[in-house]
Amino acid sequence: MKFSITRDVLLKNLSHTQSVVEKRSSIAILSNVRLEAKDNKLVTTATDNDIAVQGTADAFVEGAGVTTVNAHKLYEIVRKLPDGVMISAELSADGSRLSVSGGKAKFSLACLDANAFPDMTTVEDGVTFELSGDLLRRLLTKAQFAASVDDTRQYLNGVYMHVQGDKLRFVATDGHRLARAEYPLPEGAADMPSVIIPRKTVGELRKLAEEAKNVTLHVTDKKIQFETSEVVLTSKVIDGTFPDYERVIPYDNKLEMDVSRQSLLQAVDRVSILSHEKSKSVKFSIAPNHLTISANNPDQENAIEDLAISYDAQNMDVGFNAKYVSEIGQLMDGEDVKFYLKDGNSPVLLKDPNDMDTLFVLMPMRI
Amino acid sequence: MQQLVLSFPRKTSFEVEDYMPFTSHGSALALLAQMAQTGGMGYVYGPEGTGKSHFLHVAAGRLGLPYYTPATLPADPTRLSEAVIDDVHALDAVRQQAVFHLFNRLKEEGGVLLLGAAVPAASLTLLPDLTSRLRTLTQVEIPLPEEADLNILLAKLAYDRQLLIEPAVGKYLMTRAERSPVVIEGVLDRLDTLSLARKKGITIPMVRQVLDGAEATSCA
Amino acid sequence: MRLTTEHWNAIHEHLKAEVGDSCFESWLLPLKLADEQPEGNTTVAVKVPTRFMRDWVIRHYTDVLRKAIVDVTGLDMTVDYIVTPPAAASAQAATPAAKAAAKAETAPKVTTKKAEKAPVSSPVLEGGNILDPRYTFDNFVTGKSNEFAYHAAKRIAESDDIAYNPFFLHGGVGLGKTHLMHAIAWQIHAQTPKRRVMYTSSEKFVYQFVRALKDKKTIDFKDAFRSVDVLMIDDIQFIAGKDASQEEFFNTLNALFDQRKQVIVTADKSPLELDGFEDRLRSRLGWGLTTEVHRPDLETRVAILESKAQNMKIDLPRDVALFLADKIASNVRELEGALNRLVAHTTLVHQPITLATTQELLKDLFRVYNRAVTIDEIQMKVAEFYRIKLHEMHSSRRSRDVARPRQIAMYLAKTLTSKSYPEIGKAFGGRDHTTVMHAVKHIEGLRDSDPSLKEDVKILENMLTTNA
Repeated sequence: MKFSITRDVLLKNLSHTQSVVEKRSSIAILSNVRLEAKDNKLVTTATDNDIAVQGTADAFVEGAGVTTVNAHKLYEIVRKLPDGVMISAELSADGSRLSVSGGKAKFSLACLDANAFPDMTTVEDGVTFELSGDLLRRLLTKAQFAASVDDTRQYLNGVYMHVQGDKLRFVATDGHRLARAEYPLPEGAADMPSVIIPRKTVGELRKLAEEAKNVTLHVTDKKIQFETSEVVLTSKVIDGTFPDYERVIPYDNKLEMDVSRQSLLQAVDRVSILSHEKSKSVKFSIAPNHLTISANNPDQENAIEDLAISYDAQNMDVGFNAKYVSEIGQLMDGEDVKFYLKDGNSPVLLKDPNDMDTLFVLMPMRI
Repeated sequence: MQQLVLSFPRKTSFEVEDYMPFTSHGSALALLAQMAQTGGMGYVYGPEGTGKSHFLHVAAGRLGLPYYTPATLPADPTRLSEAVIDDVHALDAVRQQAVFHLFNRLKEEGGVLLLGAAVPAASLTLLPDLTSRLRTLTQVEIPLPEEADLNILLAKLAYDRQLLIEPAVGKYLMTRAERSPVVIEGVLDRLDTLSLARKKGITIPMVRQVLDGAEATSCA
Repeated sequence: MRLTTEHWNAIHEHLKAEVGDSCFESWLLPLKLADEQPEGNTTVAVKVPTRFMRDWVIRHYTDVLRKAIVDVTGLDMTVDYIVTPPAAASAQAATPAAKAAAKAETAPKVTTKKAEKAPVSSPVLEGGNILDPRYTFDNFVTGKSNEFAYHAAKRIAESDDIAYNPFFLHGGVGLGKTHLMHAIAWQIHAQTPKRRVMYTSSEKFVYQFVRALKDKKTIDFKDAFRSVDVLMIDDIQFIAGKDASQEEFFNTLNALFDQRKQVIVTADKSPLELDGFEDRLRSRLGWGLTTEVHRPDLETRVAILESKAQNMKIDLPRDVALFLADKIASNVRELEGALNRLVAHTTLVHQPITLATTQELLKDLFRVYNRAVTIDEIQMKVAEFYRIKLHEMHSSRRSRDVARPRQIAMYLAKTLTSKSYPEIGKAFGGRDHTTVMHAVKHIEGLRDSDPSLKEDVKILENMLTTNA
């Protein structure tokens, strides 16, 4: 194997692939990136056995071939070589070393046999459809923050993507809050199996979608693949059953409260300075056209702030985790946040008047 | 203040692949095997939490018959034929009549009927005519599970809730909780809620808290 | 290579030894080798009765199962699970339970549901299924360490008069006490089939007694135990501290002595050394003939291996026998277990037994002795126990939900390892030795005042020191 490639192209390519490599992998080959040169293309692949990222870049290939080398070392080498330099690489005759040179620097990297590299990128026939990169990123972002980080509940550790009627839905929850974003069903997606996309995959995918105009999705019930013009991201989906979330969305909550989004965010941010350090609890005392947000902590300190709101029902006290309120507020774009409430112990529905396709459910704290 | 959690409804699978053949189901399974070969009528009873309904679903699949509960059973006897009927102790008067007629018809024509109930036929308090007929059936009990089965039951209940319970935690729970399926199920539901509220897997201290009934008051 | 039922049975034996009887019976016994096995030697097809059990086994026993397969076949195979619901199977194949129930019908009269499943102490000479056919006098290899016990046992078995009552055999785990006891029963059976022998463990004795008390069937219980000609109780030490059971056992002994019936007892210690026993029971147990089975010396261990190899009709080179006997000195059971593994492996791969293959195959065995706890393990276990992140063990966060577990880990590091305070401090994110001293003191104090914490510490100590 022998090829040359410009440093900037290789760096961009490797920056995609190497980011899935686990820093400390117990399986040696998973620390490596697979390099395959053929037809004047260099294909790099990295995986942690759950996600694989494959990037394709133009290269000048003098001899086709395939090998694997340590991903972080190669990435560091390429990163530290000067801009614009041409990098050449050649595999030794016995396949044990890859020599890499750029400018006046020369490196010799140890190789592991590419045959031992797991093939994660092959996906069986599934449902294929396309979304714009920007849209995909937006939908994922709106849902993803609510996913659970408790690794004993795998089935909540991701974003549930599924078809509901004529909508494509993205849902995540950690049991404290829930986010649901949806979009008219793209062509060809109707038979898509419901899948839970792992959090790590969602993170990688958001980066990818940001740069891509269009993303093609291949979905099976075991794996999901996202393809852009440069990169293919393949991921296992979470083996679990997502809860029947529709049943906890309080569509019937009658008490409507409209609050200026910026004022709410600022007030919560300020008041929560003196909330209980761990639970971050703040109290909303709601009265007609008047909201008081307050907090106190075990050191007997307290904070209080008043807000003008639009609300014309009975007085009510509700406790919330300030962090959850802020996170939801920050994901909205509109002037106001709409709260739909029932009482201090029931789930609260929140909506962004600018984006009525997305909804959030927030569970209060018992006061 | 304590974080409340969304209460997601729990789905119970009655599919045959999810059926756990507990040791305590031995005689019920033997009855089923016999009925699958030679037909006839049978009566299976046992208290709540023993997996009787799951067994009856599986039996319905094996025998190729519809499965009914008092809520789904048609009241019109002409719409009834060979069937598996659960919870016959809870049938209303109209449906008791329907089952009575069904019983007589199947007896005459030689059809398959499998009934489930919480109590032995001798303790049923249905229409006297029906009760006396049910008492003539082959009866088997699905008793409360014993030691080894209880441990499997705990694992299964946790699995059904997608909850991970480490062996040491399970062992702790089983040595301290009352050894009844209904109690264990209740404890698990509370542990599920508590661990969801804390965003942490189930630990021995959590089990202790639930068993002491103290989970609501403390917020950690 | 396709796996056969023999392989599968051997794998089951390994699994049982690895995970213990009750886990094995709950989770691994229900796994059956599928009738159809895939081509090649990379996959084993296994039937499992339900999805839940499949997932459980995958989650908890993948490694154990894989290792057992490697140990038996020498091949690293993956397991393909086929969910086969019992209700879909044929009538005969019903369930273990149904089979057990069917068996119970032919067994002697049963009084409780529990007994239906396990007719534990039915007179062996009637049921016959309790005696292990391998445990005969012919198969018992003698040497200096156990010669006396062997001859004494033989004497007891062969003579009809009750010269020594009770016959008390004691010694460490796996030295052949149970073997001798079974051998006595075999011998009596062969000689005088009408003598009724009952064999039971002290745990079962206690269990049945408690059960009888509960079911108000103590008369039946007494009758059952007092109507036999020979009563054998294995591992009597487990009755320690159980006063009511000891009392009943004492009365049973007296009744049998009065009727001049033979009583044979085994224990891990001599009667005088038995802790948690009433004095009168201790002294009564010492009235007859007390014999110790000692640890076999090297020569006897080699002889045991060679005799066993001969029974199995395999060729065991002298250097391998010496190697095994030298490495496994503590107990005969492990010695035989090692030989079984060796033989299972070499027959499967059609290789002769050599010293090199032995060393390679059994290397894990030589590693398990002298298990020492490390600070790393303590940190991992404690973090796992309280579900906090491992790095919190090193972090400086002082919030109580991480600080308390960290202190407990320090306490355990001090009590379970030989590390010094400064060394422990270093292992916990470079803390000062006074911090560690404070933590240890603090936990010691809390242990007295906080029963929950005391229990947590106890559970953790057990987890760390018992399982490998």
